[in-house]
Amino acid sequence: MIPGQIVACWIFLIAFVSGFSVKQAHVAFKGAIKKKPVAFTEPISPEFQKLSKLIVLDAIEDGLEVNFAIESTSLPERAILFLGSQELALDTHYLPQIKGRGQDQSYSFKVAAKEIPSALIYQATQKGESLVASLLLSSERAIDNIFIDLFDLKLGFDKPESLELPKRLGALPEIKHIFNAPPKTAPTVVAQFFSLLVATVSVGLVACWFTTGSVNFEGFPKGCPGGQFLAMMVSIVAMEYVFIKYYLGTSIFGTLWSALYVGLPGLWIGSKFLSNLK
Amino acid sequence: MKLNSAIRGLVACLLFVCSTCEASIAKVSPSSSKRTLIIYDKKITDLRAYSDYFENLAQLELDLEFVSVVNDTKDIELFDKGVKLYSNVVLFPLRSRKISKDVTAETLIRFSAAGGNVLAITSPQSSTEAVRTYLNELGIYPSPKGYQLSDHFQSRQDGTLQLDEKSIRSNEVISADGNALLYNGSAALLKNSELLFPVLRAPKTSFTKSSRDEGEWTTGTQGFLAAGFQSLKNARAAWVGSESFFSNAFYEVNAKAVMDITKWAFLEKGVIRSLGASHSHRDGSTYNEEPYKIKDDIIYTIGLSEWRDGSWKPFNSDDVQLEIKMIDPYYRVTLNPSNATEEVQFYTSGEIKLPDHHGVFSFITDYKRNGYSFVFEKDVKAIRHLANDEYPRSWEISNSWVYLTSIFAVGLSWMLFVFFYLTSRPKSLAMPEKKMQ
Repeated sequence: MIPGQIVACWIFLIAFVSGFSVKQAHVAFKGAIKKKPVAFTEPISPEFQKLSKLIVLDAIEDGLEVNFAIESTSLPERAILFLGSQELALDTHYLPQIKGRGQDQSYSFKVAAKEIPSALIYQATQKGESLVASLLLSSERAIDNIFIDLFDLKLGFDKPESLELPKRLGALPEIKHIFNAPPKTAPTVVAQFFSLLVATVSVGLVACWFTTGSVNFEGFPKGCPGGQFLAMMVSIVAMEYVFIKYYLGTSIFGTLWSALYVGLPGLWIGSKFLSNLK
Repeated sequence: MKLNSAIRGLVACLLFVCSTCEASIAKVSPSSSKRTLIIYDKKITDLRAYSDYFENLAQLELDLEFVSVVNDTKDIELFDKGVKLYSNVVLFPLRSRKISKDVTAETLIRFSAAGGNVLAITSPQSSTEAVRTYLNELGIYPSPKGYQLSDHFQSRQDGTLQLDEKSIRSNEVISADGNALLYNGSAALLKNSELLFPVLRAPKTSFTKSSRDEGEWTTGTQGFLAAGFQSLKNARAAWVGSESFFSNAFYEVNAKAVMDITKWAFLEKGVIRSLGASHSHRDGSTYNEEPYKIKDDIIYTIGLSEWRDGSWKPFNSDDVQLEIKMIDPYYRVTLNPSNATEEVQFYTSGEIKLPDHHGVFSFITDYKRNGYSFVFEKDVKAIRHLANDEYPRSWEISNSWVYLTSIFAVGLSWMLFVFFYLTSRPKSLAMPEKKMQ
């Protein structure tokens, strides 16, 4: 068999029901992979039980045919194959190609996977629901018209990328804003370690001054220079205070005024004190 | 002082008038006017056969005007100097190809665009081109003249079908009560449109075909027996493919469905309104008190009411959504029901953190569902970025701790150095003199 060839193996079954004498009912497959046709072992009648075997179409290019023959003496006015989703309560229908003028007329319903409506393909491929194929054979005023579920059809391929469902009013998918990641900072422990290191070095520097005897307080200014010295030191501490206040949020203009009030007297008294040093 | 007291008095009067109006409006029907025109063809429609239906219409307090196209054709006008004369129009099947010289398909479309509601009833015998073209514009394609809905599995002698509950496709329009409906008429194909939706669907085994042995117009559930259309301006149009569906003969069975469709078409059912959307900071302060900045936590609330059984009642739903968008949506969240009053159900977003992008954002609730009037609430607000003193201070950032320690260590060391330098006397480093020999 070559790919794409319709495979048909006829299993002759005769169902005499009401006016419709349905024979040779089977499902044939069309596709790249060769598959044996599936015959309906049970007669096609109003009491027909849906085929227990799942019919699968493996690729979007695949298709199937539901074929049977009906005696010319009992042809139905309407012969329709429905394919639908029970969950969506939605279906599509196929009309048969009817051939033969002799004793029997053959009915062939061709279902191409790519021609199944997009809503059904979406339901079968995304939601995993098997589509139900139903057969309707009826005539006006016939007593035993047939409307039966034939088989379940599974679409064993992924949703085509081009598939688009018609727009419907309804709730849209939720969207949550994704915030930018906060800036990365050093681990607290590392920052504390290095801060402690700096503090230790500073304390070590002062300790070094003392241990080497550089600090002896023997030249502490006394008398008038002592007052100037204290005033100069106070102005230096005050300048540091102004700087800290600026860091903590004082405006630049407030800081400039404060620096002026502290800096000018400090400069004057400091230069006076330093010029008196011997 | 006198001027101030006069202004206060005026404002108080205005507030009193507004509150009085609001109280009276609260109980008023959503359809502002009740003037309804019923156009029929006395050659094929005997109004006495629909007396039950018209009696029920009268209970809706509609101001009904009946016009037959045979004698009064010249008098049918839907507009007077461009102003819509009626709120509702009922079109019964007509044998003539035209409704009147002044009422064409274009007039009907203009009537709908102006907010008018239309209930169009067709039948296998009707062929009015204006109605057909109007329905085609909405996306409804009724079967041609002579096509009848049949079903080999259940048709009675007269072609009447029994519709079970599965045929009802819109519970918003027809509230199913488990009873079957009787239908004798035609079916239509519907276009894929968001604004158009099926109300009644044909049984799976049914079909629409003419007696002239032409092809089927509809097959199975492809056919629809009633449909609803609502424009973006909330004007409604309903179509039913059977005149006898409204007749006294079927009325005992169909009364509820018939009145549901009519009420829906005339804005007496499926009408929801918003009592205004609001949003504020988490602590309740409004935008005017404190404009939003990025990453602020806000709460959005909207109240919805539904006109049901002659009064406003809380509208309950689980799919009311809020969108916060600046060109594209940054948030689309489903709102949760919060408190409710006798008339209003409130929905809230809970706390939402505003995006970390500044700009002009829209806070939108766009509630569009088939069968309900559309609600659109939009508020545009600017979200500012952080001011320079609103960023984290340097001591809050661990990276800065080393630098801060260094700065203060240098400052302190400098002060100590100055102090020690000026208070200490250098030790003598003089080397012992060498003895001269």
